Amino acid sequence: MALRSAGDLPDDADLARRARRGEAAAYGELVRRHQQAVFNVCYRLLGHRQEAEDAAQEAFLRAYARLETFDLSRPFGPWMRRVAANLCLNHLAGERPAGLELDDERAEAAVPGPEIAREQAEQAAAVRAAIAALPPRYRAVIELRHFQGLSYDSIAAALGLPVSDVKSHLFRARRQLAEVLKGQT
Amino acid sequence: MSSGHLDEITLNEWLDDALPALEHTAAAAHLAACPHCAGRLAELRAVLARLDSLPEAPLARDLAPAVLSRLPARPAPSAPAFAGGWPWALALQAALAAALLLIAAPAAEVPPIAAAAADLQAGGAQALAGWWAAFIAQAQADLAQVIAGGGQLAADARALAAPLSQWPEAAWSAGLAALGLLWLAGNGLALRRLITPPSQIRSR
Repeated sequence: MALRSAGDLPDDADLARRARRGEAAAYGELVRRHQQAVFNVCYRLLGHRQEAEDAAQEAFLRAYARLETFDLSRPFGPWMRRVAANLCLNHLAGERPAGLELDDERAEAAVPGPEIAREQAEQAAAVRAAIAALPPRYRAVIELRHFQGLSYDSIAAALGLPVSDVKSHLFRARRQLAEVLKGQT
Repeated sequence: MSSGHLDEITLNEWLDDALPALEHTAAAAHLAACPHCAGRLAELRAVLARLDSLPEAPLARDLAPAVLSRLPARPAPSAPAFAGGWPWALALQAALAAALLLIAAPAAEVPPIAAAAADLQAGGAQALAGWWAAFIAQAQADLAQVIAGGGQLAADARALAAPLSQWPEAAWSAGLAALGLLWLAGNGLALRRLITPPSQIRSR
């Protein structure tokens, strides 16, 4: 069955329904639609492009295995990003505690090009480095609150923390980011 | 609030629009009057702006082929209990059961249970054998009567029914026993399908 026809793209819920029935092509379409966002979740949390690509791939495989638990009445994107964030957080909990060295955006910033583009790339690299320097639990709340827009309650549920811990992690993370980024504007 | 200023959690909740209404109103009043807290809020806002400015990093390759190549075989979705080869088996069972009813139901009037029980008590196994012979004979007669009493369908069915009257008692007994066994087996399997997840049935 064709996935695309002129002006009549299947929505995510339809694709997920078909993927549940074992239609690999439908899941492939879901991957293509959401891979950019999922990769960026992983990149912000892990700090390395290659690791982030691998983690994004793993996240899609994990989501496929749990597709039966996805509520088809809700949007697929946030659920998928949550799966990716959880995977990365588990990865971080088992590995380096903090202080990642970013590998590529600095290199991209060094590539000669228009002045503005280079400045933007440098600023993006600085923000990524500041996020990567956060302890994993702070990185997690920044990712879930700021980039995924979750409420305090939802973050607490996702991380298995009391809401009071979420609040304190969040303000400490933002304070640390403020200190790191203060001299880099 | 501490030292007359908003604490950091309150400032963050303000930014996240997570303060309850009353506290929100109080914080708004304080921020309007306190340059120190307003300055701290501005610093926090600058941090959030930096996060907002972070562009999406481009993905260098399409992940879909690699993901699809590693997808595990997906178990078939839960099928209706009688999907696959079941409908024909149930239809066959229903047809045979209908035939059995057609033959046996009228015979129920012939040997009253009490009389059969009395015969059994009096004559033992011999009496039971006699009752069974009478049951079969009555069933044959009733079947012929039912078929003969019908309209066009009866005429067509009469030819089919004719050989039945020639069947010996042993053939009738064997046929009824086979139908009974089929009924039991069919219902047992159907019940197993109903109470056992399909995946478990497959894995056994």
